[in-house]
Amino acid sequence: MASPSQVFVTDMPAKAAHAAAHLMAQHGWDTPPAAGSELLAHRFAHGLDGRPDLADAQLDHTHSPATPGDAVNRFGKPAFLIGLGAIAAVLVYTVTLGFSGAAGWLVAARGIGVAVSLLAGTLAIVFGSLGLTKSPKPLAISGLVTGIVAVLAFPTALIVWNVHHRSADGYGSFSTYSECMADPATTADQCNSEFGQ
Amino acid sequence: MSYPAYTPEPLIPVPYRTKASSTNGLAIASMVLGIVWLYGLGSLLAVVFAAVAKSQIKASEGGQKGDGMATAGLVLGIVGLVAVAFIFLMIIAVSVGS
Repeated sequence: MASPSQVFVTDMPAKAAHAAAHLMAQHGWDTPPAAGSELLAHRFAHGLDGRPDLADAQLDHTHSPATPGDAVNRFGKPAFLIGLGAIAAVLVYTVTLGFSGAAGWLVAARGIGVAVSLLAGTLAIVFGSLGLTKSPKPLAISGLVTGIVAVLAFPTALIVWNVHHRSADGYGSFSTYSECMADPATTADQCNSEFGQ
Repeated sequence: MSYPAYTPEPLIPVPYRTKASSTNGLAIASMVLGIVWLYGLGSLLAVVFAAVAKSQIKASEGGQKGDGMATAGLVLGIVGLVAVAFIFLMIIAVSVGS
């Protein structure tokens, strides 16, 4: 009578060969393992028999023989990279807030920076959260945190900018009409009233 | 009429399998609502849906997936609500100042 492992090897030779190569690369074996309990257990762990990856947390590593055993969280790494991009976008619009005036490139940089930081921050939160269900977690957590920081940076910057540029009369301390209009915290009505436009 | 003798097929052991798991719908809704924000309304619903989805996923004992999506919805919802609070505070500050 055939054992379970023999049935698997017969039915799915390609997957069995993959699992054997995987074991060889991961454990440094010179010869392929026999179709036995080790091969079966490894294939079970990878869900190669159709089961969900029950042991994903322990064995979620790359299937490339070139990097045997390297742990890769397929959501964590993108989360971290996107989170870094979001933080970079925050820096872009934060720095441009330090320049006065309403030059076209300045306004465009602010707008693009805000949009990219919010979008990338949201994506980083999504990928980071999905990555929390995988292993290893550090990159996923980092992505999650950078995403949260990037998304909350915008309302924070808005408040700081508003407090910094607003004088006691409530209409801001702007020297020109265009400067007033460039302030994201002011409305057109406020600027019209301030400068008599 | 004679029939040939019945010879049973050799039994082949079937390996252990779990039932196919589906993704929790509320977890998906929670993540989507957390992303779209909808001026804070989406965030509020995202938090509620995420809490319900997480309890359903836990109760299913592996029958349902989507825990990561529920977490994403929960985090996005909380962040969205905090952002709404920030903006609300700013509006109040501007109103008081003017």
